Parts: sequence; structure tokens; C-alpha cells
Amino acid sequence: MAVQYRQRMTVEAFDVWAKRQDRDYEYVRGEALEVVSNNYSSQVGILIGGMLAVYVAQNQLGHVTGADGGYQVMGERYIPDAAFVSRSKQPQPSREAYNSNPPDLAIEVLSPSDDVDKIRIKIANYLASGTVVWVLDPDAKVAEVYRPGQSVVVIDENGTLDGGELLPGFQIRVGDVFPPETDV
Amino acid sequence: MALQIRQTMTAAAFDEWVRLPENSERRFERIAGEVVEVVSNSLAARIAFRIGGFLFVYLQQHDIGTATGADGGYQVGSERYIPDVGFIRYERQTGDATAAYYPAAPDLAVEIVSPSFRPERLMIKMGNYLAAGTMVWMVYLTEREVQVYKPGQPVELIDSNGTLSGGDILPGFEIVLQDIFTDHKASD
Repeated sequence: MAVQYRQRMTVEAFDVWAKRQDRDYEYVRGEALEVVSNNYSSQVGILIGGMLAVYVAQNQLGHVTGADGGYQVMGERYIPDAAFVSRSKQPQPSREAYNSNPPDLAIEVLSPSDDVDKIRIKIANYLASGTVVWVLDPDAKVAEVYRPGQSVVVIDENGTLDGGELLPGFQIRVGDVFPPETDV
Repeated sequence: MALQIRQTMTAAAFDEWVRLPENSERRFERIAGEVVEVVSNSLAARIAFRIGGFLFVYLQQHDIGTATGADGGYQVGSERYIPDVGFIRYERQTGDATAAYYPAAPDLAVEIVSPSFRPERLMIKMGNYLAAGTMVWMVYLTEREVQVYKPGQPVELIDSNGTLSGGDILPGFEIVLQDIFTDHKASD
């Protein structure tokens, strides 16, 4: 997601300020950053988020949020494109603006205007919180899987994203989360 | 650093390939299974040399490990990285030091980030360094700041007025960032 607006403030000031805004903001490295995307990245986000939400609901595994669901991660405030919190970690859905539980899985869809430095900082802080991160790259048509304490795995469009222990049985072909860009 | 080749290779094939005579003068990394040629620029090399210099002086007084410059490779899992500055404590040095890429991950990797470097490769390197227990200092030349990545800990940002600390890995080691970002004139 790209950044349109940024302002330095403390996290305490951010929590009060963000509630009064009409738009969504993240708090990364001491700055409030407006969350924006592009249309194609948004499609990817809702597609994988939708698949995830249906699977989690059918199997009663926990809670899934979309591109406006916020989380507190290592003192920062993030809004992943989609995220999953397991029922074992959090029996009831959160009513907080930014869930005080970091997600078990965060999905970030890259867009061309992304600030990759910010994404890297977010990934490292997610990992430190025990969160698995799936980074989806619509240009390269690959998924990158970041898991705490484990090597990064890059999966091409013919490969399979596997929910592993977090989402037992959840499997999607990477190519299926990228809508076709040519006329059929 | 620029990307010259983009070809997938197994770690074993890579280790043989880099030893070919025609590759002896070149530096390659294996990132996400792909071969990437390492190309630096003069400013990045200067900053890396300064950091390496401070580290060398520290290690002369604290004999706890070994430092390498921008031609010292390491095996980070099945990846092969060449940080601009690397440091590895003696207790992690159980392998063959004559290997092209030392058979262990460094304790500290310094990566100088210049505008031409492909950032998404840095994301993967950061993830693999953290998984291998390596602390990473990403030194941003344009912004004059350093991002500090430590396994299991929040990312720290040190701006140009701040001080980098060696922490548990290099106890007592500190670098005042102004000392590495200040450009000395030839007449100094």
C-alpha cells in the first residue's frame, strides 16, 4: 500500500487522532501513514481475504479481517490487507480500533507505489510478534512466506500457499489469487 | 548494487559455479534461490569501510571474533550472502574458513542501502538473516539513518544524530553515526 499522508506523532496521540479520521492510517516508525492501494492490488487482497474468511468460518478457526482491520504490533499500528487471528488466541472478536492482539497471519499485497522500506519494517515487527506474513507480489506473481525463526519461502504462481499448522487444510494455488490481466 | 543475472540455481550448483575460473574476480549472492551479482558504488564502499574500520579497532581490544569486508561471504541457511561488513563470533566459527562462503551465518551483517538497490531482495535477506539469528544494520545513505533488525525484537531506527550500539553481540561497541556519514575532505 502506498502512502499519501504522513505526520510524526507519538503512538498515544495517534490512537486518539486516528479515531477522528475518515480514512485508515497505520503508525509505522513514529509516523502516521495513510493507507492507500490500487485497484488491482485491492482485487488480490479481497480475493485471498475472501477465500480465507470462508475457510475460517466453515472450520470455526477464528477471525478474519479485511483491508480496514487494524492491529497493534510491537507498539506500532498496522492494517494488513487481510489477517487472521485464531480462536485459541482470541476467543471473541476484538472491538478495538486496532486489535491489541497481533494477528497470527498477516497478508500484505504489494502495489507499485509501495514504500518497501516500510513493508520490511512491518514484516520484521510482525515476525517479532510471532505473526506469519504472506507477501503477495502482483507484478512478479509470487508469494513470499515469512515465518518467525524460519527461512523465507518464495512460491511462484504454480505453487501452493499452505495454511500449515495455523490453518490446517487451507491450500490455494498462488496463481489463483492474481486475477487474469488479459482478455480471455 | 545492481542485478546482472537472474537465474535459479541450487545451493550446491551455486557453490561449484562461483569457483569457476571465469567467476574468480566477481562476487555473487544466492538470494531466494537466484544468482545475483553484487555491484557496489564508491560512496557505499566508503561508508562500509568506515564501519569496518571502527569494528576492526574494537576487535583489536576485544578479541571475540572476526570481521569481514564486502568480499566476505556467508552461508545463511541455503542462501549465500555477502554483507558489506560482517562479524562472526569465535563460538560460531566451527567450519572451514577457506570456504568461499563461510559455513555459518554472521552474528552481524551490515548492508549499505543505495537508491539503485532492489529493495524486495533486501526484504528476503532481512527475513533469512533474522531466521539465522543475525543482527542486521541497514545503513541508508540518502536518509542518513540506520535500521536495526534483531531476531525477536522490534525494529529500531537510529537517525544521523544517534549512536549505533553493538548490544549483546559486540558489548561496549558504539558508533556515533555522524562519524560515518561526515564526508572528510582530502585536506583534513
